[in-house]
Amino acid sequence: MITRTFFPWSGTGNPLSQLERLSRQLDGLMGERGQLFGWAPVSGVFPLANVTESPDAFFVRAELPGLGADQIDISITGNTLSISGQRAIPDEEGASYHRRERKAGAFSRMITLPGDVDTEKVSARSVNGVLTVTLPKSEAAKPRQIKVKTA
Amino acid sequence: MDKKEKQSMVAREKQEVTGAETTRPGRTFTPEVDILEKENEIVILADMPGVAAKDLNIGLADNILTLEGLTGDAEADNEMAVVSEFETGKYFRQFTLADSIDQAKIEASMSNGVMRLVLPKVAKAQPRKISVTAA
Repeated sequence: MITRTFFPWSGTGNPLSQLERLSRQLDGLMGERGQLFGWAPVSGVFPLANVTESPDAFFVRAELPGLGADQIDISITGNTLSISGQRAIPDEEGASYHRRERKAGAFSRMITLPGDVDTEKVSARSVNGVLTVTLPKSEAAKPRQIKVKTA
Repeated sequence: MDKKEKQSMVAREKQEVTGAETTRPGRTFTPEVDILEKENEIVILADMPGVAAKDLNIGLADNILTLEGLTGDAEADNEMAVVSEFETGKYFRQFTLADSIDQAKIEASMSNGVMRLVLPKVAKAQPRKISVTAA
């Protein structure tokens, strides 16, 4: 039997994610907006988000370390999800800083989902600094099994 | 609210650890840290989103502090990626500590994916105020 590899590069998960990573790296080389070839960068907006899809729902995940569940504002309008909030890293008293790599500030991001969602049933939870928003698909957007009949 | 907090946050890709090979599959990233020194202790804060307290390993040997955080797979098996902007993997970082640390009193905690490690200095490394008396 002949087997053909469509995606010869190794690695797990979606091969498209490799392309997206490459595209982001190219965007980085071309400057902030990737104007050289007229395409828009994948995002560049904090927080970076991973969107996945199951037959019943979309899932949006973002890494928001240091932010508790009550410090993240999430709203949904139609199929556009908005995530916003503010991360504060207060100076500690009587301390001299050797390194400061962690960043604080306000953030706001809109993510438009590729399909319709049931806005009433959207839920979000934050575990160990990773936010997961579960957006169940509306009935019309769910895949429907179609039986193929024999003649 | 100071000026720093009013700034908007910028998306940055995680820095991957290169060079060292690991036995586990998957990527390894460098966590971003703040290191601050107080009179009696050194505090290290590290952003490690996705790491639970039980998956954090901290080692100190010969003044080399090793931080390692493992993350589980957040996605269920029936999920397909639509957009992937960040990648997950483990976190790894090492520091050489200059001051002698009281190893018995090291404390670490995890809260919302941020590790706080308190390294108390041993008594002899703590600054001692020497008063000069006028003759």
